[in-house]
Amino acid sequence: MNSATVPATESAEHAARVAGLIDTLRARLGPGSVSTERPEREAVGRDLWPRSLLESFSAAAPGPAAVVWPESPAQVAEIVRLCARAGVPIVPFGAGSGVCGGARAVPRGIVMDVKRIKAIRRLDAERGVVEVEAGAMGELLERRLERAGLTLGHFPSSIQCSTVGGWVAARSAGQCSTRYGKIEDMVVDLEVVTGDGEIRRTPPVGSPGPDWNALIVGSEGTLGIITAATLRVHPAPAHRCFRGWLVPSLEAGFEVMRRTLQAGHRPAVLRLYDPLDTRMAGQKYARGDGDAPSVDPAGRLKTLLEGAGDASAPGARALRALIGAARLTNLAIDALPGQCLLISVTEGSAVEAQSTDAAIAAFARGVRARDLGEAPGRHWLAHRHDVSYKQSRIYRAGAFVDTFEVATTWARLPALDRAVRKALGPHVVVMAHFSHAYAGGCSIYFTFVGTGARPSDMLVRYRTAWKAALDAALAEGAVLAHHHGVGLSRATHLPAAHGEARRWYTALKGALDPAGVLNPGKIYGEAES
Amino acid sequence: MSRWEVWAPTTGAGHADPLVDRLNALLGAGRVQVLTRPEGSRGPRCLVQPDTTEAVAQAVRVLRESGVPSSVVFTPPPFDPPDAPAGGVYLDASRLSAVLSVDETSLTVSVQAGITWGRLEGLLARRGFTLGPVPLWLQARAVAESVGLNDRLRPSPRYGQLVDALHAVTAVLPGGEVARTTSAPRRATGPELPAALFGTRHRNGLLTEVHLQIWRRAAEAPRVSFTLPGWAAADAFARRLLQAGIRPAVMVAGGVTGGTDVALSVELSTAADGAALTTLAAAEGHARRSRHEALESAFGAGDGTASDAPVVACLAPPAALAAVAKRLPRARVWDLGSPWMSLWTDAPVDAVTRARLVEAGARVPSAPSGFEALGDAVTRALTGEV
Ligand SMILES: Cc1cc2nc3c(=O)[nH]c(=O)nc-3n(C[C@H](O)[C@H](O)[C@H](O)COP(=O)(O)OP(=O)(O)OC[C@H]3O[C@@H](n4cnc5c(N)ncnc54)[C@H](O)[C@@H]3O)c2cc1C
Repeated sequence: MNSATVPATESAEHAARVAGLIDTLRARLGPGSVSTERPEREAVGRDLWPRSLLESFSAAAPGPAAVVWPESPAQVAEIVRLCARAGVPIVPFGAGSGVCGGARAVPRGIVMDVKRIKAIRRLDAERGVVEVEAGAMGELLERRLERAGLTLGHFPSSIQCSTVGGWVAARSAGQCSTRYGKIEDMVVDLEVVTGDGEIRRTPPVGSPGPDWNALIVGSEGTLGIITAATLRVHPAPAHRCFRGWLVPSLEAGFEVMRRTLQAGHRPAVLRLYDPLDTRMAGQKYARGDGDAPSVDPAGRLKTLLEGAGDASAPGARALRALIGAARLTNLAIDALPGQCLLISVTEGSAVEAQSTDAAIAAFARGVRARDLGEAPGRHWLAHRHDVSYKQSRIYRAGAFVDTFEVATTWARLPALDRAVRKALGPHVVVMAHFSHAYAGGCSIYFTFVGTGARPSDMLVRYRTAWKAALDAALAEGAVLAHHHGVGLSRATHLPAAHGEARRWYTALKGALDPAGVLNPGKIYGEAES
Repeated sequence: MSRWEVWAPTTGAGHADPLVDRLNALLGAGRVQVLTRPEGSRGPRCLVQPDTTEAVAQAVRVLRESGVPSSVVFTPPPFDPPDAPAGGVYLDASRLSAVLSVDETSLTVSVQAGITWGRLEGLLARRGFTLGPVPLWLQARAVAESVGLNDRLRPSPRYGQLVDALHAVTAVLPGGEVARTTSAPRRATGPELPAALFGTRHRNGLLTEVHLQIWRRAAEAPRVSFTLPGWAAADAFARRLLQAGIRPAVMVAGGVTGGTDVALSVELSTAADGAALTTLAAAEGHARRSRHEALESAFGAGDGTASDAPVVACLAPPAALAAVAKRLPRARVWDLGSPWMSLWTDAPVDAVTRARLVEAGARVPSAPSGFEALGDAVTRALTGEV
C-alpha cells in the first residue's frame, strides 16, 4: 500500500483535529482563502501522474480535507505552524503539472496552493538576477523577462502549466538546459518556510559553509515550502542557428553529443530521437529507402496515435490492437532502419552561435551524418510545446501513455537504453529521445504507450511496466529520475537506490520538519507487491 | 598547543592501550601510530591512517563503540590544534589517495578523497587529462577537505567550482555506515544528499571516494589582462564579457599596487573567445596590460612560487569591495559578473575591515543564516545525539 491511499479507519480524534484546524484557518486567513468544497478539493487533489488518472477510472481518489490559498510567506508560515501543532499533513501545490504524484493529496490533509504568492520582487538586469515568488507561472515570468530583453533559459514543455516553486521543488529541466542548466543551476538563493513555521533564507550559492540550496532544491515539499527564489537570468540571445542531422545510428548520435559537450560547447538544444521517436517527432527525413509506409509499423503507430478517435472508433481499436501486442510491435519497430534525427539549436552572440554550430557540424560529419539544413530545428522550435497536449487523445482511445526519464554516464548509456527497452518491451510500446546532455553523461527520456481490456487491466499493465523499468534502471546503476522528480512514482525504488545515503535525508527531515507534516509519504515509499 | 612525537607503530597483544590494539588488529600494522607527549600535555592519543573506505568505516565504528572522539586531518598536524580531542584520535585521510579508475568515454575519474587537487591534476596530466585550472591555494588541499569546507575558490567561468564536478560520492557516516550515491551528471531524485557533507567539516560523514568530471588537456591557453578604473568598472566589464558568451578558463581581478586601478585577467580557452574579447575590449577602449599579476598570484608565474592561502573568502557586491579596497591591497576577486563577487586576500583582515565588508553587504563565512540551528540538528541526528 502506498502512503497516499486511505487508511482503513480514520480516528475520530484526527477528524476532530482537522475540523478544528479548518475553523482556525478560516478565522485567521479569511473565508476566501480556505475551501472544503468538493470541486476545489478535487482540482488540487492530484497532479498529472498518469497512474492517478488510471486509478480514477475505477475509483474516486480520496481528496484532501481542505485547500488553502495563502497570500504571503507570512501566511504560509502561519498555516505550517497550525498544521504542525495539529499534526495535519500539508501538500504544497504549484500548478499540479507534476507527473509523479508528488502533489497528490494526503487523505484528510490540507493542500496548500501557493499560486497567489506570485510577485516578481526584484529584477536586476545588470547583475542578472530575478527574485520571484514561488507561485509565479513559468510562461508569465518568461514573458516579463522577455520584455526586459532577458531570459531565464528555462523552458520545460509544461512552461504554460507549471510554477517556479514546482520547478525548484522537483528539480526541473527545460528544453535548453544544455546551455542554461537545470533549475538547480539557476538558483542563487531561496526563501523557504520550514516545518517549524519559520521563514528562512538559504545562504546564496557560492557561500562558504553548508549548501542549503542543494538540499532544498528537489525536496518536493517534504523539507519546506518554497515561497520565493532568486534565479540567474541572461540577456535574450541575439542570434540562433538551427540544424538537423540524420545520423546513421543511435550510437553515432551519442558520439556527436558526447564530443560536443566534452569539447566544452553549450548548444541550447541538442536532441537525438531514436528511430521510432524520429518518426513521431513529425519529421519525414528518416524514412529509409524502400521503407514503404504501409508496412512501416512506426508510420502506422503515428497515424493511429494522431487520429484514433474515441474508444469505440475503428482507429482506436486498431491502435489498441497494435499497442496491445507490444512485444511484437516493438520487435517490428526494432527491425526498422536505425537512422536517427539529431536537432541542434545554438544561440547567444553571433560568434558563439555560429562557432558552436560549426563544431557540431564537424562532429556530425565525423559519423557520416546527413545535413538536413535548418528546417528540422525550426520545426522543433515552432512545435516544441505541442506534443504534451496530444496525450489526452490516447487516453480517450482506451490506452495510456507515460514517460520515464533517467540519467547515467556516457559509458553506461547504451546498456541502460537497451535494458530499459527490454524491460518495458513485453508490456508497452516504447520509444526514446535524448535531450539533456552533459560532458559526463546524458539523460534518456522514454515514452511508452500501453493498453488493457478494462481500466483495471490497464492499471495492472501500467504498474508492471513501471516496476520492470525501475528494476532495470536500478540494476544498470542509473539515477531513477533526471528532471521529473520522485513523488510516488519512483518512491518504491528510492530506498534501494539510495541505500545508506538515505540517512542524510532522514536526518534532514527530522530537523526541518520535526512534526512530519510536510508532504508525507513522498520520495521514499515501500516496495509494491 | 603541544608538540607531539610519533613513535614507531606498535602492533600485537600486550600494548598498554587496548584501543590501539583493537585498531591495529582491524586495520593492519602501520595504520595506527601512537602519539606520546611531554608530561602534562593532553591531546589525541593516536593517529589512525586508513587507506580504504572499509577501513575508515571500521575505525569509525570502533571509535564510536568505545566512545572515543576523533578529529579528521588530511596530513599529520605538526601541532595539536586547539580543538584536537584530548585522549581521542586523529583520523588521517591522507592515505586515501589512490586513483581508482578513469572512464575515458564519460571523462570521469574515480579517486579516493584524501588525494590533493594538485597531485590528482599531476597524475591526470600524464594521461592527457585535466581537472581544469587548479589555483595555487587549492593545490595542497584534499578533495574531501574542499568538500568539508565547501571551497568555492576556483575562479573559472568555464569549468566552475571543483566541488561541483562531483558526480557521485562514497562517504562514511558518523555511525560507521557507508553511503554511496550513483554516478550521473544531474538527477531529480530528491535533495542532492551529498550536499549534507558540503561545508560541514566532516561532521555529517567523511568523504572517502568521489567520481569527478575531467577534461581533455588543451594546448597552452593565452592570457590577456586589462586595466580598469576601479572594482565597479572591472565588474561591469567582466559581466559584459560573460554576457557576450565568452567563458574564460580563468578570470580573476586584482587591485594594482599603488593606485585605485584594477587589473582584470583572463585565460582564454577557445580562439572564438579570443576574437570576441578583442572586439569587446576595443569597443570599450580598455588598455591591455603586458603583466598578468592577478593570474600569476593565482596560478604562479611559472617559477613555482606559491602564494599564501587565502585569509578571508567572502561573497560581496562590488560596493563592498570599493569600501574596503584601500584596506585590502592584495584583494583578489572572481565570480565577477555573477550576483556576488568572491573575494580573497592574503592581507590581514582586521575587525574594522570585516565590519565594513558586512556593512556594505558582504556575506562572510561567520554571517548567520537562518539555518545554523537546523544544521546542528541534522548533525545530532546523524551522530545519534538527542
Ligand atoms: C505536458 C507536460 C510537460 C512537462 N514537461 C516537463 C519538462 O519539459 N521538464 C520538466 O522538468 N518537467 C516537465 N513536466 C513535469 C512538471 O511540469 C514539472 O515537474 C514541474 O516542475 C512541476 O511544476 P508545478 O508547479 O506544476 O508543480 P506541482 O505539480 O504542483 O508540484 C510538484 C512537486 O513540487 C511540490 N511543490 C510545488 N510547489 C511547491 C512549493 N512552492 N514549495 C515546495 N514544494 C512545492 C509539490 O508538492 C510536488 O511534490 C511536464 C509535465 C507535463 C504535464
